[in-house]
Amino acid sequence: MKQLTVISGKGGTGKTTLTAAFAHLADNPVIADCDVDAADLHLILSPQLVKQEPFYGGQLAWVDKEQCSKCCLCEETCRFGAIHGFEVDNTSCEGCGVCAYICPEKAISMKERLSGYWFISDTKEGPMVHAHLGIAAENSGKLVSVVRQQAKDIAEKEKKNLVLIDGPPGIGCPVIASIGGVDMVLAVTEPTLSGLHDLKRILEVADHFNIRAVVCINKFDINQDNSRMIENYCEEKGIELIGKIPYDPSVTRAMINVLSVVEYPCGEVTSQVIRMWRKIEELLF
Amino acid sequence: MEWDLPDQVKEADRDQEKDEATAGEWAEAGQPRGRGENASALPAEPQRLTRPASRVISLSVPSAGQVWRGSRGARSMVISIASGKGGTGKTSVAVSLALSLGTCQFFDCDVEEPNASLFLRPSITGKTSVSVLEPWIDESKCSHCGECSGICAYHAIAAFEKNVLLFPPLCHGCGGCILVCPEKAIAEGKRNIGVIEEGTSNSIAFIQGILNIGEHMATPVIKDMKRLIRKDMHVIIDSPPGTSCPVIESIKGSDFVLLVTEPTPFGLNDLKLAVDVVRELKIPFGVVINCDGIGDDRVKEYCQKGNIPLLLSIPWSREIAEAYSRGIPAVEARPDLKEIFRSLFQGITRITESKRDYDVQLGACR
Amino acid sequence: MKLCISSTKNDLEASVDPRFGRCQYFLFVDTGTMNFEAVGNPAFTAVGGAGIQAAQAVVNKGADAVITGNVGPNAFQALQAGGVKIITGAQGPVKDVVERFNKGEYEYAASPSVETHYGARR
Repeated sequence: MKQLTVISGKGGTGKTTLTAAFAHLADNPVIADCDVDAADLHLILSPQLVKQEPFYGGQLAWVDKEQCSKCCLCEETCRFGAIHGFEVDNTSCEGCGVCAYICPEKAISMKERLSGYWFISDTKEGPMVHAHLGIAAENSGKLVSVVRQQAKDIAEKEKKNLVLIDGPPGIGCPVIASIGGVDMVLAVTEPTLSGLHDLKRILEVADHFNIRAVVCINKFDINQDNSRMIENYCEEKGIELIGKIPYDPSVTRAMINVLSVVEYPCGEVTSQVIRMWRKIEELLF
Repeated sequence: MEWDLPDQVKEADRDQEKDEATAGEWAEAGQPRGRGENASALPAEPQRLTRPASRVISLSVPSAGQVWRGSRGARSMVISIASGKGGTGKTSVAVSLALSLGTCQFFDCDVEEPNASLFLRPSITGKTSVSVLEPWIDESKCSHCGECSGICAYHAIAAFEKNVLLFPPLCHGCGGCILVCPEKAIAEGKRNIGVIEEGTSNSIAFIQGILNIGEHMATPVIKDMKRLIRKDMHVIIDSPPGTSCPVIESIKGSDFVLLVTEPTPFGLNDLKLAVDVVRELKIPFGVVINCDGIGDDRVKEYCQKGNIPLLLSIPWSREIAEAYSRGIPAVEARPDLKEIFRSLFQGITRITESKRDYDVQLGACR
Repeated sequence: MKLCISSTKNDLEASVDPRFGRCQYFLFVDTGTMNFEAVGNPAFTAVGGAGIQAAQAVVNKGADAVITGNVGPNAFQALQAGGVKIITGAQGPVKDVVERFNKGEYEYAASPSVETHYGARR
């Protein structure tokens, strides 16, 4: 059983579009949408919900007004400016518990923060684990870890040979949680000015964890010069560039038709993606 | 591709000069006029778009009765640009808006990956480091009671029989350990987590924050940056993408939030997430559709149904996309767009200055 | 000697859990009597600092040595500070691992085996 994560240093490069296509092309995948802050994969895969579970991440302070003596000590001591008028601002509270500790009336208690939900669903491509992180919840990677664990459990139980992970954008904790221990990452980039810089950063992260990385350039024809720079960099570093996908408006048409780019005709994009997937299969299995 | 300004937009510009209420404006707001399509997303009765709007949609917002100037006194405003999804063109819109205003403060709050400087090319004139609280444990005073480790919600302190270990990247700087230590063995120290750079790009005062690699918490950097907000000029805040804590820190306290999206299912999905956040913060907001024409009309329909002002639709163009990839802002590649962005700004001003419409917005928020 | 072994389930037949910070259970085994106590890992649900929390719990339980698959740098530091020896790279059923330890087949680790956040793998 292998695990592949699709990542990029920056959002909007086409991670989810590619993951949806791979889900269709793969034999027997379990799909994990680890972009818990702004999940989009379900918009293509149309999951049927099987199970929903609450996710508790961290804590929130709560003031019992009846016990409160209005001494304001909590407001003065809170380092995050999260208490005003004897009420906790949920969007600022970081759950440190200092207010609860110092309240002379013991009027403040720390409650488990319902930060979001995770889901197990069925799709036509296979079982899917996904999640939704609520507003102002700390995006620490814990929910990502839950999604990953569930996906792996399903893969083991149902004898699936691949966990396909749609990674979150960026390079922070959630990304790290989405790539820890996988067999390969696919880094997706665009030929914008920061494209090469973003790619370098995400490749550094993969390298740090000794995970093999391959690269693809999306919308490469928007700027052939920048694309070439990225190609040269990959060659220099001995990183395999497995695809260069041209810009094609039919990609959006596919999305609107709730189909991946290998089910809806997208010309060269479709053939590139299929070629990329064959390459990934070759490298993984 | 034409960029006609509907007549009522030009009227709105003229009215901006006057301070008087013109009640008659409201009645006319929804009528298609002249050559442009007009859709007022904020009338009493939602208007159906006569044609998919591929041009400027701007509001003529009535100011009836008192003109509410908000807490910022004279007309300077803080406008945040955000998006639920990355890659929608938030920075592009923020930069274009700033360049069209000419004089303003521009904050790049995407401190993990600031890139507005690629387009504004500022000369950096000053740097300040950002530090957070780091507990300094004096082991000579430590009685190894373990209280500090007990209160730490982030497991940043491990206390053992003979020693105490601190793990700074996990520390949120709450000060709990300092408070509980019975021996007063923990002092309040500092740790450097990033830097704020200030500079200028023509008449734009440019500020960006950069979070050091390996640090997890962007919020303290953003908080420090926002202390530099001036009240005597307009402020544009380019917030990070998404809906998590750094985004909230960036847009909190703004007079208006502009949500940038693309007219696709992904764009709509993530727009809804961003709308939830902005409504939670109770800030007036409006939507800009970038790359219009690549998808469908569901975002527009969503805005109409939700009484959300759709302030601007920018058609996708290869020219603009290619310019962006070369670090050229849209309004530099197409100077005619400056006028469009100025009208966008007028539209925002009208919304925030009209108390009645502010209430309507809040009503829609609820 | 009191060993602490990261485990996937709460009995000696279970396999060693390759991650220390986010394993499911810790089995505290007396190498002499093979008596054991299974404890759920309190750090399993930690938002952050799982390795440290796990290490603290293990030290507090008075373990002499930890046997696991991988230990990240924070947990490693914490275990060392707590005076607990560390063995990494172990696999297979917990009872076999204890046997191997008793036969002297393991060496103590001098440095962490994986980088931070490895435990996100699963």
